[in-house]
Amino acid sequence: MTQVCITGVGAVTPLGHSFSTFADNLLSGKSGVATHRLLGNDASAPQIAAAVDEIPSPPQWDRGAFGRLNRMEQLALSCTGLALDDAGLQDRRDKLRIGLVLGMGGEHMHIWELDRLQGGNRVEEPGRDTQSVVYSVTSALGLRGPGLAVAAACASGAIALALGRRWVQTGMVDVCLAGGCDLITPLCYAAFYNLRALSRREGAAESASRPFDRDRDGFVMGEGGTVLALEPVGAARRRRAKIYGNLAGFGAASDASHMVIPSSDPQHAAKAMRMAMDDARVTPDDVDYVNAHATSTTVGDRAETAALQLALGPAVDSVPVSATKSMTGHLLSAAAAVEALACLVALHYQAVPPTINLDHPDPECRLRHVPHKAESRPVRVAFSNSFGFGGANTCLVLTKAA
Amino acid sequence: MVLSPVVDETGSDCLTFDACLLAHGLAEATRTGLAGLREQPGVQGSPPIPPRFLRSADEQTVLGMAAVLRAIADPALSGVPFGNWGVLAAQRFPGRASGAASFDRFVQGGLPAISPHLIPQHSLHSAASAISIALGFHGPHFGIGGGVEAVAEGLTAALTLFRPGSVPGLWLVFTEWDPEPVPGREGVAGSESVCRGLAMALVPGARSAAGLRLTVQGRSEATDDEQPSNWPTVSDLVASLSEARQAACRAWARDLPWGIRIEHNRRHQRQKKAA
Repeated sequence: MTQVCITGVGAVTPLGHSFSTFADNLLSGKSGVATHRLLGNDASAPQIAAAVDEIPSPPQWDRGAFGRLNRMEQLALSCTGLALDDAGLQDRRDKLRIGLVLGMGGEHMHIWELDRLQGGNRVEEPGRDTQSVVYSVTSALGLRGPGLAVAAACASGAIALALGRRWVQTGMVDVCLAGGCDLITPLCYAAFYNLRALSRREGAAESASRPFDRDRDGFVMGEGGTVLALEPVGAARRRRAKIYGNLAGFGAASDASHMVIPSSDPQHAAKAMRMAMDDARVTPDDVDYVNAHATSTTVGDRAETAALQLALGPAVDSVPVSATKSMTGHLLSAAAAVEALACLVALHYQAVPPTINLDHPDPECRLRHVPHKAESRPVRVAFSNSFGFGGANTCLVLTKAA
Repeated sequence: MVLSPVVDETGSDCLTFDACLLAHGLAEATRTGLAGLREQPGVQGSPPIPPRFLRSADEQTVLGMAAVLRAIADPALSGVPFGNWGVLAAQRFPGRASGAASFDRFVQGGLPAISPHLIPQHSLHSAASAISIALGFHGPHFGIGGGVEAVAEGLTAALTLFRPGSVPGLWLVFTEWDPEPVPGREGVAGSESVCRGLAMALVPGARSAAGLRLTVQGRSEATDDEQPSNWPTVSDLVASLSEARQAACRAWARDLPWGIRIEHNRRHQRQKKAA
C-alpha cells in the first residue's frame, strides 16, 4: 500500500499560525488560554478559552475579499491555503487532482449563529444555503479533486486525515489537503457550559486546562484549525518536497455506550489504538510518544488511561504520554488535526511536548507523564488519540520521515 | 469496498469502488407525525432500542434511526451480525429548527437558556452516534456533509473510505427535510415539509455484484466543472431504489464535479435476487 507523507502545514491556532511558531510555543510549555468576553452582550464574568484573534488571509489572497467572508469560511480557507502554499503546490493546482477533507462539526450552525449575531436571519432563509464551506474553499483555491466535510465531534480531524490518506493511497487524488476547523461561538460555549463539561476554575486562566491532574474540573474551549497536505512518499521525494513525517496508520472503533460520557469499558478505545498500530506495522514497544486526547475532564482522562494501559500493555510504563490540550485548549472538531501537528513537532524536533499544569497527577491516571517541561528524546513513532462525543474512538500513527 | 483499476469503454483509465447493497430502509414523517416515530421508531421485526432514547434527538436523527430499523427488519438481513459495522450519516442541514430556537432563547435569556443537549443531539455527528449507541454498532461512525452536497459526499466517503477487511459492513444513512422548512413557520398553510430518512446496508462487493459503484475518471477527464445545477438528493436515491425491481438498465447515475460518477446498478441487484 502506498506510503503517505505530510508535505505542507496550514495552522491557525492559539499557539501560533505557522509550524515553527506553534512548535516553539508548544515545546516551551506556553499556554494559549486567556480570559475573553465570548458571550456578546452578557455582562457576567469573562470566559476562559484559547481563542484566535485574527485569522490570517492565505498567501496571494486579496485581504479585502477575505475580510468579507464569514469567520468559518475565513478559517477553512486560511488553513487550506496555507497548507497548499507550504507544500509548494500553489503553481501546480491545474496539473494535479487535489482533494479536500475537513473535519467540521457545526459549520452551518456556526454560520447561522454568526449571521444572527450581526442582525441577520439566514437560519430562516434556506435558499441562501447553496454551497458548503468545503465547496467554497475548493472553488476559491481551484482544487480539482473531491471535497467533503466529516463530523465525529472531537475525532473529526482524525476521520478527515484518514479519509484523505485513503484517497491518496488509492490514487483517487494526487494530493489531499485534510484536517479540521472549529470556532468558539456564544451558543457553543453556553451549550458546553450547561453540559458542565467546561472548567469553572477560578484563578489564572492559564491553569484551567489541566489534563490528568487530580484537581482538573473540565475542559477549556479552543478554536482554530490545522490542515495537512498529504501525498505519496514517492511523489514527494521526486519533487524534493520537504516532508514533515508520514501518516502511517489509522484505527477507529465505537463505544456504542453514551452520547456524551466515554465508556468505562476501555476495550473499544484500546481497539482503535491497536488497529492504528497494526495499520502502521508497529508494536507498543516501537511507540516513542503518545499524544493523549485528555481533555481535562475527570471521567474522560481516567477512561483514556485505562484504554492506554490495555492497548500498550507493559510498554505503558515507559512510553511518554502528554496532553497538549493543556496548552491549546480543546479545539473540538479541529483537535485531532492540531494534535497530529503536535506529533509532527515531536518527530521533527525530537522532543516530547509537555503537559502543563500537571502539578498532582491523578492516582487513577497512572501513565508515564511529561509534566511541565518538554523532554528531548528520540521520537520515530508517535500516536495521537481522539475520542469524540458519542463514543467515536480514533487513533492516528505518525512516523518520522526516512 | 473493492477497488479495481479498469479501462472504461472510452479507453481512458479510471478507478472504481464497488459496494454491494444488501437492503435498504425508508422512513418519512411530517412534523406532526414525528412525535409518534420519536416514541416508536421501529416496525415489526426491528430490534428494540432503549425507551425514550430519542426524546432529545434532532428530527433527522429520528428519521435516520427509523430508516435503519426498517432496513434491519428486511429478511435479507436476517442473521447478519452487525456488531462491528460502521455508521455514516449524511445529512442536509441538521439542527436548523433547534438552532433558530436556541438563537432566540440566547438573545432573551443568555447563557442559562441554552440546552445542554444542543451539541450532543443536534450536531452533524449526532445521528451516526445515536444509531451506533442504540443498536450496538462498534465500527467507526461519523457524520458527513451537512449541506446541499450531502448525498454526493456521503456516497463518495462510504465508497472510498474503508480498506477491504477493515469493517465487515457499514450503514450509509441519508436524511433531509423536503423542502427545507423555514423555522417558525410550521403550521402555516403550504409549509408542510417531509423529513425523510434512507438507510443502506453496504458490504464490500465484487464488481459483478455491485449495487453501488463510484468511478473516478482518468486524469485527462478531470476538468474545472461548474457546480452541478442540482446536487443529488435523498429523493433521487429513493426514486432509484423504488424502481429497482423493474427494467434491466442502470437505475441511476450522476456525474459529480471532480471527475466522479456514482451509479446505482439495478441489474446487479436483480442478479443477486435471482441467485
